[in-house]
Amino acid sequence: MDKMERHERHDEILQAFEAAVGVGNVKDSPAVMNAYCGDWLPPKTLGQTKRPEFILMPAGTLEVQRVIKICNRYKIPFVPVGSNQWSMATAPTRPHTVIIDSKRMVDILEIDEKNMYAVIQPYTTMAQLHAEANKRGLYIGSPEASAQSSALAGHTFQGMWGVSYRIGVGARNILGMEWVLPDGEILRTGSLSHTCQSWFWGKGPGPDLKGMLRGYAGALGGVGMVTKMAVKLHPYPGPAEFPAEGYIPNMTSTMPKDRFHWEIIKFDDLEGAATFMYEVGKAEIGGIVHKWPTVYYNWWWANSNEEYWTEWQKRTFQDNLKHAVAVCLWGFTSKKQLEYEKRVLEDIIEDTGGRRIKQDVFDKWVPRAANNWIRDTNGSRMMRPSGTFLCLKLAADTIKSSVDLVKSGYQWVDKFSPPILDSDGPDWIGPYEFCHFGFAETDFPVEKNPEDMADIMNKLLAMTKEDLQHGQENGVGPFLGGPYHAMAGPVFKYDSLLKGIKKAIDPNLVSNPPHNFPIDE
Amino acid sequence: MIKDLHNIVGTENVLDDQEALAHYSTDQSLSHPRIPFAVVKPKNSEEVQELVAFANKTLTPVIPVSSGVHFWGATLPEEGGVIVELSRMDKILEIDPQNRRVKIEPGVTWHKLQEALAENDQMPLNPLFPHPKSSALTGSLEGEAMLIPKYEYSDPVLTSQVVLGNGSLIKTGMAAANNTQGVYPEGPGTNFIHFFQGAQGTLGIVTWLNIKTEYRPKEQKAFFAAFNELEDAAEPIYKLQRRHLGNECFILNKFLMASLLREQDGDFEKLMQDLPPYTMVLVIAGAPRRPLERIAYEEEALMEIAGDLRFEPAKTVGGVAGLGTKMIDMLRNLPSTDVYWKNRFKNSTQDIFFITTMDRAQAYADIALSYATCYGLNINEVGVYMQPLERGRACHLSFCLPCDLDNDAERENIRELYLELSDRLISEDAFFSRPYGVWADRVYRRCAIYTAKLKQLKKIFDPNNILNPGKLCH
Repeated sequence: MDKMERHERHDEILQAFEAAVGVGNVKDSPAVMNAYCGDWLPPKTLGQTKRPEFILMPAGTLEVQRVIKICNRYKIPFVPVGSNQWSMATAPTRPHTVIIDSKRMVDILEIDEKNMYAVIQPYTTMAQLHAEANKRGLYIGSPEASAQSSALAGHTFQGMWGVSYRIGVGARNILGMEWVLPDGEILRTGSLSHTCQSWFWGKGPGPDLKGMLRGYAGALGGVGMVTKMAVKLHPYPGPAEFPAEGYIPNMTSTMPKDRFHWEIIKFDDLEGAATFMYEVGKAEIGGIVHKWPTVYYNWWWANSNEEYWTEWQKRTFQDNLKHAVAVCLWGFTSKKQLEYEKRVLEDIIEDTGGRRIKQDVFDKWVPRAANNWIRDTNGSRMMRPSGTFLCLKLAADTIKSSVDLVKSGYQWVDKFSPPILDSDGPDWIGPYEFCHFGFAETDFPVEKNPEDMADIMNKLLAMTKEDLQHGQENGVGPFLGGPYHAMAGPVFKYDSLLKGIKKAIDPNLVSNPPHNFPIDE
Repeated sequence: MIKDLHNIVGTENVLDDQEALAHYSTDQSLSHPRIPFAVVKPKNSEEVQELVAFANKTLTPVIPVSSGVHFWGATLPEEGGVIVELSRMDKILEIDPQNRRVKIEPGVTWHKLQEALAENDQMPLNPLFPHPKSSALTGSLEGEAMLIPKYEYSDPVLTSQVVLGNGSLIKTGMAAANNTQGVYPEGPGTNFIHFFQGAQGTLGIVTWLNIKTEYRPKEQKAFFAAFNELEDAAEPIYKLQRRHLGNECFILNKFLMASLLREQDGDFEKLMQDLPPYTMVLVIAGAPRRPLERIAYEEEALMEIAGDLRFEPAKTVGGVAGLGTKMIDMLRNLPSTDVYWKNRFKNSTQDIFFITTMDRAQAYADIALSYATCYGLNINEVGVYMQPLERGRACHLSFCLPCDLDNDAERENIRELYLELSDRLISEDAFFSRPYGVWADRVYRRCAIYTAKLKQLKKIFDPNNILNPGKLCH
């Protein structure tokens, strides 16, 4: 870790921040700074992060605005942070960085049950939102980062949810927003641009400036901080309280059988699984559909590191769940809908040559893990076997292109094993929006030590550069943010546009440089 | 300059005679005529790029036009310039039934698209009975309200190819990468397609667009429910949409319903007499597998909700014989004649439309009808259309004012009504998400920061402001 160097006007800046957010909501002691140097992803492990110089906890939009204006005045960078669980971009990479910690912005400000949306702040968690939504016959997704992560950040980041099969990723669920831009202006989008009470519509007026916030992995804090967001909620046929029996780590969950029904269907190859998924989407049945890799099944199921590796060596999941597709049918309309969908699913299984997995394997896994894809998604469990996980290829396009991408990922995974640990050809494919889209990830466990992480990161970078030379998008790059866009921009011809947008809204380059475009490099 | 244009698109594709210029100087809106310098008809994106390069060199505005008919003034040259008429680019480039997507050029009409997709058991997500000459690309980009609210998305837009105002060509979303099928709207980079949606051609000229399609049902049943007031229909729709019921779902008042049906029935006055004040149209459709079983359970649920809320889904309203079959036929076979159903009463309809929530629709309708009365209109001759969006979380609400554009006094009366009613609706927080013509200034002055950032974006995408200047806030 670097030696912390203080800004020459540190005390003056401190005083300005204390005036902006209150004395008790500003920290600058080195001990506290250490806690904000990184998250579970490689930069901290690789010693690439710096200590911030200030931690601030503003209470709302106006205090965030004051903070950002002060950063502009002194030309010091800031990093907006939500739950800080799953991001490569919240650890500082520049000296004198200010962390804007959203812990005091934790409320659900409004829920409009009739028009199905909720207004949230940056530290509102998915768990809070789920709980309140479920009480009202509504639901929302949950990312792999788990329900303890920030709901707002999840909508601006990748936002791949367990339930995105019907409702799409997080970014497709954003309505009106209140957004403090890097220059300190407060931008309100959609219907909120007209009046501060109307959250219900997310686009416009005219061109949608939300486009600046997005991209496959979002802008990684490079375009300011969203302080309020209305998010879509969706009709939910489930119970008002999420069913759970027992206690963690042995908790199980069973959804009402008259409205929810799980099946796991196995195929001989990825193409078979893909065909099945396409048919399910075309038939417009199902609430959750995923082709999980066998590592996922073990990740979500195992209650300890020992249990994970013991089961892995038994090959329970590898031998029974390779190329399996899990489907959860939801009876949105009625119990009869569920019965109809079961019959349709049976037809599809027969037509596509699928086979149900063994009942004992189903009974072992489903009660313990399946319904967490509705509510929690078990993200942190992915860290358990080895301390962390990484990914070599991510796809966001169609099911077919996802199949192609993960297959190209197999050879890379083999090539880099070790330090990649045994992961049985990782190939998660999630169909989204009734199979209009397909996303994929090749996630694998890897030892969390600096040597192995550095090795993999360098290989990832080399692979990304090679892919770009061929005009290919491997999905990993966008998570690197600014440095990636500097490489990819000229290839995909968006560099001058993104650079222009960044310079226009962040003239002093204070919003989490080098994201989303490294102007200063 | 004309010679330069000849060199780009060919002599036969440049029009500068008085008749052609007059045709492009007006549309079906109440906007004042604005005469272009010339009209050019490129055949591909390379020629579009050359035209934009020419525009930058000579600082000549270019106004992209793709439909054969226009309603909102968006294609009139505010500051002179050259109309870039994209109707020659009328190919359906790719139909992809597996991913339920189609790739189209600007000149493809909804009618042409629907016919082509039908051969693959697909259908487009079109708005309410669009004009036969309307461009599907433009309609999709501009966010015209889809008839089917059961999907979580409210627009079918995926990826695109765009000629920017600086002349460069980009592909948005995953279309930029060559190892994908080019479908997903986001990344690499940022979500650029958002900028071109609702932009009225001010940030780029879209030369092809991928949009979603859906399964064209082979089995379906249309139901109609009569309501006295718009608010009486809101609660049933909320309930129906919460339970994922139905495909097409929309409300028309009797004026619009009669206008729609008169082509078939030919007796407008009788329809006006017999139809209820408001009709909800709900089509329950079968999926590709076991279609009749899906219709059965949805119909059962519909009747259950109807029983609870005391409305009556029926096979017809107003005693119109065979209405269900007629409606489904109209939905699945968009009209191809030049006569637009909304213009049958008078030769134009001036629509005021915006987004709101269904629980506020009645209040807006009351305002609109009271203003219409003040301006001497017969409120029975004002159209009201409510289109639920995204499972009823919001709605597109439209008030249709028939107007004889050839009658100066009437035109002026409707113009004044249009302005005053728009002002009032905006002040009551109706969200005019598509700020055409006179709405633009009214909308953008209420959102200063949004406007300022949009202007900054314009400078990046179109540094010389040659793309349709004068529109939106530019």
